[in-house]
Amino acid sequence: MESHKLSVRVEKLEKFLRFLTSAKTEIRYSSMPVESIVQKYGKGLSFLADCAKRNSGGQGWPSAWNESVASRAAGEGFSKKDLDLLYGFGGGFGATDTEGQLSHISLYLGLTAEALKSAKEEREKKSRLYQMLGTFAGIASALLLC
Amino acid sequence: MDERNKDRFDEASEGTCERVRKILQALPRSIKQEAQEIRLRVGRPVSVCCPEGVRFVRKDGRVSDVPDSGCLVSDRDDLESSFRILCSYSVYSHENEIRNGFVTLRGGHRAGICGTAVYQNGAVSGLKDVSSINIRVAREIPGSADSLLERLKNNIDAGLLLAGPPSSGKTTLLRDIARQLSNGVSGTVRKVAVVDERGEIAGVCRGVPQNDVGLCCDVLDGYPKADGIMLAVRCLSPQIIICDEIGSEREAYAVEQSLNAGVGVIASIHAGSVGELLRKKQALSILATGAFASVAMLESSPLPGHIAGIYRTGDLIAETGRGGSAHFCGNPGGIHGIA
Repeated sequence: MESHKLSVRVEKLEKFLRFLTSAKTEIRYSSMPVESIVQKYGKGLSFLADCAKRNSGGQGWPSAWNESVASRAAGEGFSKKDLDLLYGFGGGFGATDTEGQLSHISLYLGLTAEALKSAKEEREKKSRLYQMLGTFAGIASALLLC
Repeated sequence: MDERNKDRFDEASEGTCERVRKILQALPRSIKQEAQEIRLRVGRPVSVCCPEGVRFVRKDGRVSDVPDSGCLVSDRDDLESSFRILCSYSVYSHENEIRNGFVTLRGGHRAGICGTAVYQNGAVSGLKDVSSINIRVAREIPGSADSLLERLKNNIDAGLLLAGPPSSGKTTLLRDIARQLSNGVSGTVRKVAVVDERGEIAGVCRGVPQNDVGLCCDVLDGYPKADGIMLAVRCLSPQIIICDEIGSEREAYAVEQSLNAGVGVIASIHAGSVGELLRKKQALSILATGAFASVAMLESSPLPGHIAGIYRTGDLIAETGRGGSAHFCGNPGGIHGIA
């Protein structure tokens, strides 16, 4: 179960990384507004889909993003550290000119890639640990039964 | 009509931060119906400009003629927050507009933004420290061009220059002319191209014209007028090109090219009177292109688009030749006798 959670976190961070890359491309080449970016590329993550829904319902960007992260992202497999990263990203997304936005996204691409790397390492380490624990538990129970 | 103006005010007030918006939307209906502009300035009372003058917005949702302690004062956070709302939280997607000092909102309303200019390579690249915002409430008056089109009939295809002082309704008329010509309301349906440099005619927001400019109308949004006219002539095969406030040499050249391609141009220009129009060098060079068969002179009135007179361009140029530009002596109602 715990191992599955770690895999989910890796998967979600990968999806967020893809979202950031798409957002960077759209901002650089088409100046697409933030709401449209979230609507177009946010389908893979439930908190992004929720944010898009809130936006189209008339809710402003910062509150829609923050509420979606608070209500959906936590249950989606992101860690507390990841949530802080998401809040930070939402706070600056759309707030500056193109150059500023490209730098902002590049920064968060780096931070997310780092989080992804540590999530993968944690998954590897812990899944090995859980495997060993499972093996030992099996041997222990076999010995007890004998 | 009044009900629609009230809705238009509420729509325009959506461009302000929540604190200010709530109070603006609670204003009396009569104020909303008349309001032309909503003004926010850092550390100053929020005001609404009406035809009778400036009204200061009070915290209790009423207005006063003089500012007092009960007035709603907007602070820096209000301005910053409103600025982000005006940009749909995507400042980067409005860079060009911001450089030009305005943002077009959903509904065709235009927000003028004032702050400190940021220079890069000798040109304004953006602005910082937003100090004031002026939201101009867009009004559509369908039918405002009825009498003009009725009098000009097919002469409109030979080009029309609308001249008038500020707030005389030049843009309102251009918008209605675009709608009527491209819908075929008065005669056959024409292919119309609107070159909307400042987004005031069609008020395009995310590709959708917020004002009704008709069914057969192409909108070149944000294009400099000269470039837009040339592009329309080359690529859109319009019968009529409509644009606002022309005057530069490049624009005069583009208008001439349009004439050579057989495309009629309907445009507007600032001028308080015929005499003032004929004293303007750029107006004369535009009239000399031959692209405008008629000039319609507008005058300030409570109802936008009130026509003071319609003149044949040839007569006006002849008047200039006789030295009549200083004190225009022709029929003040123009050759079509409209006054």
